[in-house]
Amino acid sequence: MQTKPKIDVSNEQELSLLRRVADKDRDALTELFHTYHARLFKFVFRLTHSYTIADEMVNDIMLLVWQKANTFRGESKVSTWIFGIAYRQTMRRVTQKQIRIVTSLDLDQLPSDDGASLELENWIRHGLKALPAAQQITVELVFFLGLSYQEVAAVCDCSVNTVKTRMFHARKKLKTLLEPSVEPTSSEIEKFDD
Amino acid sequence: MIEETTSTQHEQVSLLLPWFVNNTLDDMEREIVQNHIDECSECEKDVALYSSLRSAVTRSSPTPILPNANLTRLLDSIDGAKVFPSTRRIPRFRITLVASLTATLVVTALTLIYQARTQPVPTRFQTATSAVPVAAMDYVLNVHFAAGTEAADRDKVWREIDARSITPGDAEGLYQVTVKLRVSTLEELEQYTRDVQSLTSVQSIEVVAMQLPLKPSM
Repeated sequence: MQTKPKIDVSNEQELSLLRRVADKDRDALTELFHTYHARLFKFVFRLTHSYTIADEMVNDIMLLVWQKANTFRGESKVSTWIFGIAYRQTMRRVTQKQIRIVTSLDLDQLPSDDGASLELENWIRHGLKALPAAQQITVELVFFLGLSYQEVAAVCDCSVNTVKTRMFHARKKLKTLLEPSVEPTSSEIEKFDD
Repeated sequence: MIEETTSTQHEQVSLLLPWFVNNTLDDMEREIVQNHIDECSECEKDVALYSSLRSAVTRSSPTPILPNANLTRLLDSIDGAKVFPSTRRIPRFRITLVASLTATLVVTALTLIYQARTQPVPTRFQTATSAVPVAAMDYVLNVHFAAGTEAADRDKVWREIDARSITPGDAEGLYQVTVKLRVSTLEELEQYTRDVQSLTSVQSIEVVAMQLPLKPSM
């Protein structure tokens, strides 16, 4: 008995939308905008913690989608391609020092009604903040967007090994920070700001 | 050998753990990782660590969603109606500064154009056809003497025209000399050449070059 190949309905629909965007169909862009706006905004907002920057960058990213839709070769999912644009835009701004990646979570938004959450909050405060921008973004792509390592590699335009290594080093640094003491000193944290 | 294989497998599995946690491994990878975790306490701890990280990342409450008004801004950007999003609006002082500089440049340019049109531009170099009196200029003349002209006769001519430099003559009796002349028009120059040609022994003369003064005759 043969198994039917998996068809990603969502991607097929988005592909159709993107093709229409490439043909300068504004209705298709509007639909794509509504599909991605929330995810893109959250993604950028979580990295920058700036409502203004996130708002501005989503606009820039969707403008690039409009301009570059005809260059999409269909080698990846549409979502991967769009988040690739988001990733490059974010990294470009980080490189140009227009923005700074801040800790991934707004600590005020974390539940803190039990000991485990408080510990987690502490861990996030001292751990994620100490990671380099590329590692922080990779963590977001893996755990916030839930991308596979192949998709993260496509988004970041790097090899699968690089992605795996980034996560490995992120884990290693977090462990190093967390294991010796619950409250690492600021100098310890700065050591990891490479 | 078995230890080496186990070590390699541990490293490979260790790199896959984040995606084991986020459920994106394919069935085969998932099975390999699961089997390894069951026997490896270190990887089990790492899975717990990644799970905590995942929980921390996903447990944060959703960030606010922007209103649809942003779509209008995007469409405006596409139309080019608004090149800059509102958040990138150029500060007012910059607009004022640029406007002031532009105005200054325009006024300066207009003033210069006006001056150029209304005031006579001092003639730096004047030509032989110019009617304005000019300073003395060096002219290079080809002077052709009749055959058999003696050196003494040539000297008389040189003195007459006040020749400044004289090249050695060729077999045809052609000499090139430089003289300083003050002529205002082409007619005056032609008259001068006729005068020289009328001198004894001079067969022909022609002006071959004119050296303009380096400073304007003001």
